[in-house]
Amino acid sequence: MIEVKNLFHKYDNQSEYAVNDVSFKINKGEIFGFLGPSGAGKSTVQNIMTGLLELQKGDILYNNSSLDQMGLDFFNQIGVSFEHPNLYSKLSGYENLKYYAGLFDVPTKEPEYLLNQVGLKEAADKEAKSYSKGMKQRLVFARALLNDPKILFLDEPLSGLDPSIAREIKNIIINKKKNKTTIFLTTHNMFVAEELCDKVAFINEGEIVALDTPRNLKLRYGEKSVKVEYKQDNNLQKEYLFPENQADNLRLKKLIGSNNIETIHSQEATLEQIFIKITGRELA
Amino acid sequence: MLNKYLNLTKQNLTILMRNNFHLIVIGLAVIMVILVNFVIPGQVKITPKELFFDNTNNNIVQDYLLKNDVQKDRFVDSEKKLYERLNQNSNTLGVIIDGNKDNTSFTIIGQGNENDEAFNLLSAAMANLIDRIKNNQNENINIQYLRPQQPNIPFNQKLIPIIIFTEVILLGFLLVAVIVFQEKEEGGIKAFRVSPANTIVYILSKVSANLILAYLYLLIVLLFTLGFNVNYLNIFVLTTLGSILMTLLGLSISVFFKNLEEFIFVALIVLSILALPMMTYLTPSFSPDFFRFLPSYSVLFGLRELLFTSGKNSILFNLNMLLVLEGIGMFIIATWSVNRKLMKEGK
Repeated sequence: MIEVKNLFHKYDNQSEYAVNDVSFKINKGEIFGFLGPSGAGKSTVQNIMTGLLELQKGDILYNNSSLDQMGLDFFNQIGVSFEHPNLYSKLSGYENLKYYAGLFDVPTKEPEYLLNQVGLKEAADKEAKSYSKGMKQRLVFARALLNDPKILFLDEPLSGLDPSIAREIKNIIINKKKNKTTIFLTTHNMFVAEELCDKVAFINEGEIVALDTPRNLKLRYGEKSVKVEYKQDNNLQKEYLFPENQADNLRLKKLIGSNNIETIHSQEATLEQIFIKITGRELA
Repeated sequence: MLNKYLNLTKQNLTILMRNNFHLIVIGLAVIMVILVNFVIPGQVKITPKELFFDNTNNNIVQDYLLKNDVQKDRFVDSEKKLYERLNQNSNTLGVIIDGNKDNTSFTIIGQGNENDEAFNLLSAAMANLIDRIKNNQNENINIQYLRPQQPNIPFNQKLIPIIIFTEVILLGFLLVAVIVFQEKEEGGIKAFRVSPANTIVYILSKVSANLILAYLYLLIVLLFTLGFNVNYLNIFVLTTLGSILMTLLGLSISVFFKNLEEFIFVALIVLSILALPMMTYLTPSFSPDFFRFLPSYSVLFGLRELLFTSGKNSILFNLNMLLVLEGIGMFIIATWSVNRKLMKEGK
């Protein structure tokens, strides 16, 4: 289990806390989504949790042992996939994995197996500098899996991937969860979080503003909405309406009466809509 | 730890080779071998060249010097031609010899930029020359040696310690910085920091990769200039100590800069200071005490002692010990610098 207690962090050149009294727990084998817009403090929290940033105030416990007390063996237990691909561009995909695997004290997976898993088998011997952004992202993801980590930190793992590859990566993440790997997923993509996470925390301006399962968040904050597509002056228009809201209810009735409706779908409020409702900010 | 170190060293070597650094080193070594063997002469006259107009009866001075292998082009047959030659080459001194064997006089013609020492030396040499012509040499001058007399070292070979020294200093100092900046730019160091490898492994792997390139250069230069007439083991020990020290110095400084452009100005200052002992090497009479504490001094003069031994056995041991002590100190500094600037961020 991971327990983050009253975490604070301030950067040298800033007066405000980048992370302000953040606390949460992650159970073993859980996917914990850490959601928020750019600059909200997501990566700062992940960097403190992985030891990349100094623990200034608060505590982080891994199975009741404080991060401060953990030696280098801690890094045998974790895997980190970074948002910005940090690879050795002069090394091939295979070499990037092979040499990184050599730094661990625990058995590691074969680079060929992982490259195949993330769809980079054909490009294994090409230098990483020739990879597209998506390929680099997949290689960084594969690198995080080398030591078969018990805890996996994923920072925007699906960013820049085409849908079919993203599907493959999601399946790998789901399989890791089935194998009891604890996953800390940092993203601003609410659809990814909704699909994968057991629990999500919304972070805004360094503070956690909501923390629960996606379903409970929807029950607590969401209202059922209706997506209506209709023709107006030969153009297709789209509107989201909340029938529980009286004005939206009247608008919906008016649209139905106009006979211009092309499609109409009822839907739950998305996590993104809930985030906007809570923080007043958009995620992008 | 050994496996991690070997693995990381292999990674660093692969990156160095992908950057074609090995080809640069081999190319540089080949150029140096060509310079030593075919371009730089074995004998170089450092003082101005003397041109003679022998106006004595029977040209007694010219005859004597020609018999003693002085080149024919050093003589002219008229005063006018002497002045013409002096005007053509500013690194020449003219000597007009008048009179006869028993009463010889000299007129020395300078360019105007010579010091008194040059004139005094030439005057003494001409007086001695006449004594020899007259078989009237001063037998009361004795020469003694503190150590066995060493063979005269050809000028081109005398430059080999500088050639090795320059590469060890440059390679150790600059190449490690290039790799550090490449890692900073690509972010590879961030991935390293979430692995169970430590700073010592990181530093040692960088040092080792650089050392292998230094050995490559050293082997090519030594094999093709001095062959097997040198003590390779001792030279490798000294070069190893020097290369380790310079790599640690380069690493300690480069981690404080964002990129190569920012670093290069500081690098030039450091390299200029490290190059100072070359002044003492080329002009032995200029030897300020503080030069001896520069690590480059130990490398340069250690190499000279190994390649062209002076018989002072203790010199080498002292220089090696100094390098070891400086290396230990620099390792501590490098570990602190790397820990502080590369292994932690946003403190």
